[in-house]
Amino acid sequence: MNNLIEKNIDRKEFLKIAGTGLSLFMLESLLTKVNADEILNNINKSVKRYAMVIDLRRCIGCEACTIACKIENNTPLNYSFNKEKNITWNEVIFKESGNYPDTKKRFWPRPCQHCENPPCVKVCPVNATYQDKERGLVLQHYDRCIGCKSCAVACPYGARYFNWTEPKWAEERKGAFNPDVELRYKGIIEKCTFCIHRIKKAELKAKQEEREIKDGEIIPACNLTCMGKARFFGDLNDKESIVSKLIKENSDRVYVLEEHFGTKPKVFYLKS
Amino acid sequence: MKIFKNLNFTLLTILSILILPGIFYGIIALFGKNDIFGANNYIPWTILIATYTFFVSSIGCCFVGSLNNVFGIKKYAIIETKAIFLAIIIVLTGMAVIFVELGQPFRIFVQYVINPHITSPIWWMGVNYSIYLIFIILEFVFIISNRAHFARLAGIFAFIAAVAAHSTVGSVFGVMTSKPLWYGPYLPIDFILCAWLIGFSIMILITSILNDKNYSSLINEMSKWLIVLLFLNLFFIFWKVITGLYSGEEDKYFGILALINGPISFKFWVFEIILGIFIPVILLSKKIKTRFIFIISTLLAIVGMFVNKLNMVHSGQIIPLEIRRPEQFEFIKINITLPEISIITAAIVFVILSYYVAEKIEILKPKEE
Repeated sequence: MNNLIEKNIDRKEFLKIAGTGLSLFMLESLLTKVNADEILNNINKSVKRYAMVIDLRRCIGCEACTIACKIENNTPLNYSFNKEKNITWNEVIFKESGNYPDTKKRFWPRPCQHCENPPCVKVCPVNATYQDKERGLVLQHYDRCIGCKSCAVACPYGARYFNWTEPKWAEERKGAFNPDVELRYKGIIEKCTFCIHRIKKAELKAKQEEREIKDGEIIPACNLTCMGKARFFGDLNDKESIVSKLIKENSDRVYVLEEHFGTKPKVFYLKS
Repeated sequence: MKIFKNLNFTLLTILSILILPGIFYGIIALFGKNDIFGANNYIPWTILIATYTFFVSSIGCCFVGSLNNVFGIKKYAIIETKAIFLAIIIVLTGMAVIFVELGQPFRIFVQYVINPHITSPIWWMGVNYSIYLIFIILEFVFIISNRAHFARLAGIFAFIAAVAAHSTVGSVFGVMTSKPLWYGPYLPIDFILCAWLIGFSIMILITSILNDKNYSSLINEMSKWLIVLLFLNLFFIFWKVITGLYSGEEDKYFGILALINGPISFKFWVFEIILGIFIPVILLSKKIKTRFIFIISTLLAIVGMFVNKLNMVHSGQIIPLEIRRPEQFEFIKINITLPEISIITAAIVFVILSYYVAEKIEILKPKEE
């Protein structure tokens, strides 16, 4: 119980609290500092390695990214009474700590981490979820998914969502869906794609114009809407990309979520 | 067989009626929606997954049935056909349960073939169980048609496939790196032990109900094996709990706490340990054992094993993901719904009815040498 010892919690007291279903945790254990050089030196220029950087100093927890994602990706209406069955590709996680008056509230957005070593991909029996090696993304073939939910169980970030019933949308949304994003249906898993449709559009445009994709040309919906400009997207294999530069320039505060699972996530948090 | 001839039509009708709600909810799940079940995005696998793992543990009947055919222990020949039949029918019923639980079950038949993923234990589980079913059905056909040589050959392959298939079910949980309580080689091994335990329990139960004097010495022998297996199970559980409490991984530690002193502790202590292990061991250790004692103790052991699977599935997921865990967290609430109970009831009753029909048409009679 190294973490617990660090937190100076008496074991006996801890057992007592935990036994009743309650426990104390520090927030910081979730984020692990990573070595920026290791991330940036492992470059293969023949493929893309799309990643996201989220500057927590700039994030104000407004959840505009969550809403933008829902609109962009045609995810269904959330239940107010049954949040465990909601589909929210980009959740903003809120954590409160301390006791009044010394309290803190922190938050960080959590899209799919598009891990380089994704546990969800390994367990899928029918290759419905797969790693797009050309772009370094974890994507989903909806028409293959058998709905076994093993990827949802395997994901340590809770980034995979099952359609427990036929999706429902508000009346106003019908007829106003994003035509670039396929609608999902009952019995399959879905998740954040880093707005793959936008990536493909940019790739097509670049191809037609016979040029390389420029850094900053691809902007996922969550990045576009972020009022604090906290989110950045780009190719880690390009040393000049905004994400590579941010990681390099802020190497002392580059963190990833739950690194101990060995998933090598590609969403990097610049800690406040 | 006497006992079945004495069964009255009313009882059979009641049993058949008990299947209907399960079929109804099964159809809703297949063609309607999956939110009739208690699972959600926070705890995606619940009681139906546990039921599946429990039903496929009846592969232990194949183990017991193989004792004569594969290992040459002749005294087990008299229960061979019954054991093999049950090993087929219960596994098929378990598969029907998981079929209903899946989101898009009809895709399995195509996707398993055209998009196989060999790193996935679930894919191997499907393949291994298919191979197992082929061989065990062949074994059954050869046994009832008195073709001993072929039956032995098919039996050997069925036994190997059974070990492979059932340990793969354990690995479905055992490879989940994000679930420290499951992760590791423990579950595939534990699943094989549980299968032996369930196999012996079912066979003692069936032979005790049949109340035939030919079975009495075999029942006594099997009950001794069952005591050993129950102790082994207790041994496994003991070290699982102790190592979990020493664990530095919070998910593992709290999963064990949930089990021994949390929301699932009642099921653990009362059903899994006391009723599922201690009482059967005490009853079966008595010098004079009546038929009633055999029936009660094996029924309790079977219920204990079901709860064991249920607790295994729940304790692995009952801790909120670290990312969603607030400073003061509560264990995830486990929901068990009426449709789930109806489906489980239907599955159990279906197995009973199938066995009844098989006995009635006398295909399970032991064959002459």
